[in-house]
Amino acid sequence: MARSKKRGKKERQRFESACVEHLDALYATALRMTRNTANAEELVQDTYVRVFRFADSFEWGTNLKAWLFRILTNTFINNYRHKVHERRYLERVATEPIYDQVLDSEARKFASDPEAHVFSSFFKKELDRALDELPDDYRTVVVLSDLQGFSYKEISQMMECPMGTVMSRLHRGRRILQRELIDHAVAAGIVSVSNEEQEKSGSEPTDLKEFRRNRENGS
Amino acid sequence: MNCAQVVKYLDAYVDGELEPERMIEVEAHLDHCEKCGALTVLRRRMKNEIAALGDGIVAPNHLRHRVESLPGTGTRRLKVAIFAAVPIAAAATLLLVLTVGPWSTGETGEEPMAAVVDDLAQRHARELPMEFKGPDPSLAGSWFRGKVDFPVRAPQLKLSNASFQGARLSSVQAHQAAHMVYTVDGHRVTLMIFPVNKLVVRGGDTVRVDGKNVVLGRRNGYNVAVMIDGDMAYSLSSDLPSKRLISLFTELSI
Repeated sequence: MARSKKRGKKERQRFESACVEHLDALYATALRMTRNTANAEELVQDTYVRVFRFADSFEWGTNLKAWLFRILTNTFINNYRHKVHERRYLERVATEPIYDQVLDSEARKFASDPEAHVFSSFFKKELDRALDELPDDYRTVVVLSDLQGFSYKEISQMMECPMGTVMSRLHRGRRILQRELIDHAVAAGIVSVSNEEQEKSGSEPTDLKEFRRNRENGS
Repeated sequence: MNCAQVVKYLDAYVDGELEPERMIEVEAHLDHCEKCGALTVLRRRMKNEIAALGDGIVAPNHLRHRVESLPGTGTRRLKVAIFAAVPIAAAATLLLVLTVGPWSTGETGEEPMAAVVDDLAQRHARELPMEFKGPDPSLAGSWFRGKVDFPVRAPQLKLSNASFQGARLSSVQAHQAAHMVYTVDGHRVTLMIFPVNKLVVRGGDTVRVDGKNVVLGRRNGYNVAVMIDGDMAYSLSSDLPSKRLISLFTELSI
């Protein structure tokens, strides 16, 4: 019904004001995607240019916000995303089960800390910084899921990739964040994370730093 | 399920994307494994903190002006339209499909709380016409009389920056729901009132407001807060920050 080429003036106005209602949410997300205000403003403006241009492809009764974010994400991926250093970072993100095990056991220890550093202001600040340092593809998925609360299905439509890719990017992105949080807490002497829990280790590295060193050396 | 399996499902669990059967298995493990429980708290905390990073972020005025005066959109009118026409846009609302059940137990026939939040958010994203038009909320209660099986009182407005858009009936699977739409700070806010019967509602993120439990969720780009008061549930859905929604329970005297 809403596919008619020419919308009435009133309906057009209604559509435009409904779109502008989401300006703050789009801007907050763009800020996280691009990591600077100038690019975020430009991205949002580009997004609205396309939103108004493609107005006729929006159907009332569907999720307007998801539709707007789809255009935002698409514009970001095509015009702003950094592609260069991503591969290097990707290689650093080990996905071997052993790495996950080491990380999980550290994370459990970190999270069980009776002094509850997880609830300190330190945690918030570090998370803020670590999020900005995530590679674009991971950060985009984490921001759409956590900052905006979109579902896996909606994110996969926004990023035009399979749901499995959304899930694995989320998984890896959050692992990186988790690792950064723990590393900084350990470096700052806030928590100590020993390795007594890695009972399964055997010949596997029991120390995360050693494990990373080994990886860097290619052993 | 063992720890390794639980960790595998943790993302989907925290995101409310896990199918009910799997969720029950994960929660059965979390009930007795302190370490995985701690890890879940960490992940939830991470998710909530990232959500909070967006709170209070407002687009700068010059960007708003630029967007409003984009060529070929007729949006020069928008500056006025935002304030004058939003009520028109907002005089449409959402249908609610709802089943209330425990978030974490999973007895037969009961939907997890996550599904309720999902529904509430999804319905908020849609716009349906109001059957009873604002702006006077004091008449809405009598409009609902005889139409639903429970008394409805439309919250009065104590806020200068809020207005009542209207009300409609929503049928929610086996439940009836009274459905009201407000505009607060220029954002559409949907209030749903519905009976929860004997179902227990507890869930991932629960805060206490005026001695009542409020379950928080964030789905489909919207925040949802569900306050449980005896046999009734009161839900607010909006893209306002969840802290703002919580304060609205008090400000609207819900």
